[in-house]
Amino acid sequence: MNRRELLYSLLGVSSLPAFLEAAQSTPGTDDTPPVFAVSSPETVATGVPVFFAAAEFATFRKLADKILPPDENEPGAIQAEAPEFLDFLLSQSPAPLQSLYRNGVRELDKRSLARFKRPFTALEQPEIATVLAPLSEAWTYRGPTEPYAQFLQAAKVAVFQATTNSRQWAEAASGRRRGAGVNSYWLPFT
Amino acid sequence: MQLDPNTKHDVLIIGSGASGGMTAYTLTKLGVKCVMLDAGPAFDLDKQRVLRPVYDLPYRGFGKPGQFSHVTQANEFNANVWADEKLNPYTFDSADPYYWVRIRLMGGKTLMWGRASWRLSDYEFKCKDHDGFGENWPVEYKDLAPYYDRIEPLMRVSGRREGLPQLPDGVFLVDNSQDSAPVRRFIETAKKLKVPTTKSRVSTGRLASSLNRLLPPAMETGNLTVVPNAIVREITTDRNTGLANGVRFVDRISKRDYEIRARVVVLGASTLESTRILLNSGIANSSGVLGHYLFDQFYVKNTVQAIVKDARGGGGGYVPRFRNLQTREKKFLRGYAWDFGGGGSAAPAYLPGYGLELKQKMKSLEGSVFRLTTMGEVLPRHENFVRINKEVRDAWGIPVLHIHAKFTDNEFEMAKDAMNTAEELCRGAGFEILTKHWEMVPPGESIHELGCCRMGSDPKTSVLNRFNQTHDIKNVFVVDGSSFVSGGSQNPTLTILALAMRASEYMAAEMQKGSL
Repeated sequence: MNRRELLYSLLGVSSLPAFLEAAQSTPGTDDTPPVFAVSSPETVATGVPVFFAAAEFATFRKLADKILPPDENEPGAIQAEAPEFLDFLLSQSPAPLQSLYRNGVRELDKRSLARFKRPFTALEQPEIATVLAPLSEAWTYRGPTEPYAQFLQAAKVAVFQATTNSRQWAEAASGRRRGAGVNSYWLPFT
Repeated sequence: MQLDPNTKHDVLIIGSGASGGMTAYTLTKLGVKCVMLDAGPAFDLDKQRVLRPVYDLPYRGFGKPGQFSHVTQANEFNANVWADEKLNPYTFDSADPYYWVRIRLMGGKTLMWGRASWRLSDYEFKCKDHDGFGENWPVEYKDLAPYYDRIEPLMRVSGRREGLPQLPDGVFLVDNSQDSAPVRRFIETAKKLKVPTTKSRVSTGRLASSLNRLLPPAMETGNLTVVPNAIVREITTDRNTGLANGVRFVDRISKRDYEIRARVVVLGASTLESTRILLNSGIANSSGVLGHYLFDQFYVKNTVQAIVKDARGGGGGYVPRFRNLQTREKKFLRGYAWDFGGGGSAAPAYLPGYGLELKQKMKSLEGSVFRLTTMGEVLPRHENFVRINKEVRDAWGIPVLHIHAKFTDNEFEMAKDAMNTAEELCRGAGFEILTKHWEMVPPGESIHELGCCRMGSDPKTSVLNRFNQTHDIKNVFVVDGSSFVSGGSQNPTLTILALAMRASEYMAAEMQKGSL
């Protein structure tokens, strides 16, 4: 039983309509073509970063790891491939959000170099805490006014969401919660 | 059902949501032959939805970037439900954004509504008598009460009777559910401060929509013909009589234009769409107020989030308006309500920090966050209005609306008072304040847009009479939220249903008499 089948079985529903399941179990000897079980790209491949340049992506990847590292129960951002997913999401996002992230990543390295003479990817604690200090500010409705702090807050929320909505997270959570992350999806209307 | 295209139908209903659905439900049961046009498709609900894990969605639940810049309710699971703003544009001044949230499907917004089902009271119907602002409605609570009485069982409204004059009781499925420890503590503190609380009053069932509660009984009468994908351009009128004689509409898919004839035309297309149709038709505006007095209810989402240190638990309730009833506030008129509930968790955005420390903090707060959301009355003002923007047309060539709406100091002061009072209540209950703010969502986002075709006794200052009939053209009725004169802080759907039922019974009686 693959991951998707397990989730559906926990919910007590079939992943495919009954008539399709029947078709699947019958060899395609008649005029009805069989319906094959298929997989999404993320189950067999890793997304290719297209938004950030290589050095920028390395910085962003380390930031994501610091925002949400793994623990004994659940994957972190890296294991959930959250940086790769967010790179893809940003590639399709409106220009202001793209600028916020691109400039934010560059500013993160700039501050690291200015303060510690090394890029963010080479920093250790407590140096990391110094450059990520805006993440420790208290919440306000409108958020921070400084673009760098805005970037860090936006990245924090996005990394959490991209991680907790990942296949890897669902697999880890399925032992504790039935149907983790499963919801009713409205198909397109014609 | 096949009909002769040349048939002149009894009643043509535009829209299939709460108001259109109730009109069809009421009229067809009285034997009136109705045709209903809806701008969206018909569909099989069970086949339209499938279970999917969020990670199987193309954007992991984030949704397609930039798709819904004004629909905060949209997520990747329900993205196909909301009207596409590229096909259905509207305009506003960039300094005053308006969030127009639409569903163009059979059943309308009743497919996704929050189901809150409150009655209005004479604090709303006679608001001018109470505080001198605005206009009274041309109806009183006693006029609508019999209709509320019939609608609550139909929508299976659950609730608890409280005897509050500002929130009249109804015919409820009695809610005797136990409150969780955090909710009990909040209610006890509220009592000490003389702030009333009650159970939420909601329409119950797997689905509580026009699609399952109103349209099926109407269809069973054999008196209803439903035409989906029919986007109305304008109401047509007879040059000799000045009366409406039907509508012109365009098929959503083929873009072919049609005309249809009817004795009576009923608009139930939603507050802003009905107004748009009237404005594009150039009718029902001898008063000059058509499109004016647009208002909604302002929302302050999570105005206070608090941590209940030693107790977890869900459940919740409602605080009805308690300001400006027997006393008079110095800084604002009218009042606000809260939805409150416990059992929540803290999203990472609300907590400082990052990494495993943040994750541990989030886990420690699971189920212990208590929240209040403010819903406040927005004063109807002439300067909040819609007009036709002839420079912009939708995908079917129909001129769109330009919307001008902004909040004023009355709403801002009310929002501040709500935050401060909510904080006081939470602290009184021993909760630890996590976050607080009084920032309102933009006008429109509450999806409670009202007014623009307001009712009134004076044809010079209102569009509709006390039976939702236009003053100018007796065979045109508007039965949706656009008819509201004021809105209170209660969710409006139950009153929309009551007004539509009442107007429909009047309509049927007038048709019977030959007056229509």
